[in-house]
Amino acid sequence: MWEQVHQALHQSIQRVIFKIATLLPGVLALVLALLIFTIVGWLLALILRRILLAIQFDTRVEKWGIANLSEWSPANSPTFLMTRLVFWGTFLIGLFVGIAAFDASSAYGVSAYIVSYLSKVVAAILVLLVGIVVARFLSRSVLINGVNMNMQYARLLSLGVKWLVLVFTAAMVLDHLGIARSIVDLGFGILFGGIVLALALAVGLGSRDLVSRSLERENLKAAKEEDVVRHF
Amino acid sequence: MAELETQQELKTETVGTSHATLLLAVPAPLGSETLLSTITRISQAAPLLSFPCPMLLAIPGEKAQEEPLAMEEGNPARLSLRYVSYAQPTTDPAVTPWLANAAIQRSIFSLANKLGTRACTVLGTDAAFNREFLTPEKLTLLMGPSVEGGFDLVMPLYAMQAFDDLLNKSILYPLTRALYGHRVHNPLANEFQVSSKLLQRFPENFDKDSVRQQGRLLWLASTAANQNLKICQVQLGVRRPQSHDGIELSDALAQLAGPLFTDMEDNAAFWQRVRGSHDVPTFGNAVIASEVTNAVDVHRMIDAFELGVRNLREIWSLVLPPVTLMELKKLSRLTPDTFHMPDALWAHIIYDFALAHRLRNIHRTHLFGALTPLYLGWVASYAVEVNAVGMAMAEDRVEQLARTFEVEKPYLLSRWRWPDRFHSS
Repeated sequence: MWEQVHQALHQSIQRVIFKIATLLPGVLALVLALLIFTIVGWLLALILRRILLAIQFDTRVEKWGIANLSEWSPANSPTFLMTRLVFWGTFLIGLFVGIAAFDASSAYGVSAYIVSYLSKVVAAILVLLVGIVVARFLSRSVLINGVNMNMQYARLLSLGVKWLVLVFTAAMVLDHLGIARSIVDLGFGILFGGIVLALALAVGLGSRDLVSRSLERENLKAAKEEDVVRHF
Repeated sequence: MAELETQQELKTETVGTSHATLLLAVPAPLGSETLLSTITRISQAAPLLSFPCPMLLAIPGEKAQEEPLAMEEGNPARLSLRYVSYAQPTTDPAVTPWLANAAIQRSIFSLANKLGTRACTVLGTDAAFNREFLTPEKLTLLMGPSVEGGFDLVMPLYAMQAFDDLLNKSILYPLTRALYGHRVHNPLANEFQVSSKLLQRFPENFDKDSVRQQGRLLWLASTAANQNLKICQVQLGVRRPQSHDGIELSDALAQLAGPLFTDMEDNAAFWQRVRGSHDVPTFGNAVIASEVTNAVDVHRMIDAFELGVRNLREIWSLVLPPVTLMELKKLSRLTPDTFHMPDALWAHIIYDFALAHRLRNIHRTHLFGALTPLYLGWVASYAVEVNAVGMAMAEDRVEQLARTFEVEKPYLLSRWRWPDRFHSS
């Protein structure tokens, strides 16, 4: 009996070692592909950066009138954005090549699934990034405009807008990844509809008099001030 | 558009100007009555010049081309005034009045360059439409220095009430004075005269270079200072404030201070070498504007400032150093009677915002929105002081602020050259 157990163990260890040995070249190919494409990406980004600096790309972008694009990411210059794009693009290609090499060395055929899902993940990450940038931009816009309109609740409004956009983005991301799709749809519908209804009720019924009184007061104050002060 | 340009070129050729010609331009299409009034004033002003020269009237668009000839019959002085039209830009003056004005001025400059005139006098809408504002004597004063005194830029000096034109008094005048070293009180004038020498600094197709010129204003005094040209001012008396109803304060800040900050970036190499400032020759008699009798209620402005301090700290921290944020916090605790924003603090704020504009720390629309409560804080502080010391001292107060901008210029230089330093301070 002990001999049979020993044999079974021996065979299973052999099978695992064999499988590892089969997968190892694929893993090595994946790591190697990532390493090579990272270096290539870095080199390409470096060359591109030098070329763009030499042709004064940032100034040209401004001259072409698309400077507004860079204002969505104000801390980064157009040159920086382009070089980053090239680097991460090359890295991504390396990842796909690595996965394909991994798949070729194994017999599981997972690469097609991984690649198709990976493209979804990349799209989801992009949606998430855009959502975060838009949420930040809109919340700042609401906060600043609210303060300039003398709204005491400007911060609250700005936070509301920020979380609304973030929740909306999260729902989009989860839906895109196919995670708990029905729950996300239902939950988001209830949440979004509820918020809009609550706001409509609050402004339409509860705060109608308050809002009208507040606006009247502001107009009166503004008229009083405008009589004397002229800014431009 | 192409047809219009061809027509303009044809007209330019047929006009046949000489280098002695003086071009007078009006910014808006004039009705028959206003046109007659303008021609009359020009005809009365022309003989007052010690060096009479042929004049040419530039009118926007093409519709007005037959009008001046018809008006000659009703012209008391029988001045043979020739005319030429320039292409009127399509910018909407109701939304962006200053940008629309700059586009018109660029169009006029292009025409003047093509014609090769001796000088170009631009009349503002006020001057063209309001005959009491720009009398023949004042028109002579505006046209004279360039023709007779060899000045390259003649800027107006208006008599203003204490609480008029506050954006100019708080930002445009002190900043341009500190940067470029000339004391031109209205750096963004509606009425002015430029010589051919200054006109040549602008490219011939100035109006067609629209993408580059988009969102820019013409800072003539800065251009003249940059080129070491002669500048003077003329006293044009009391100026009626222009009505810009419907324009938000933050939009006005973006439209006026934004282009000035852009100009700062373009001329950084020049203004970094300028130290102090100097008076420019001023002609004409000073007039004192009638003063407002009622004091300004500052409570609403202080409320707006305090609301900003409570809510915008996070956004301001992207632009202002911690020490300025602390000063602002202290200010928000003061009562309306004792509310005072030190001039040095205001100068630092403007310098920091100019730097943030250059570095694009935050979106530019947000930048000017975030500046608005701070500006209202300055206006409140100014109003408290002027209410206390009297309206007559308002001008001195503005001069004092401008001097502080000069004194604090090393702060700007330091921040401009080493922008990352404040993060560690």
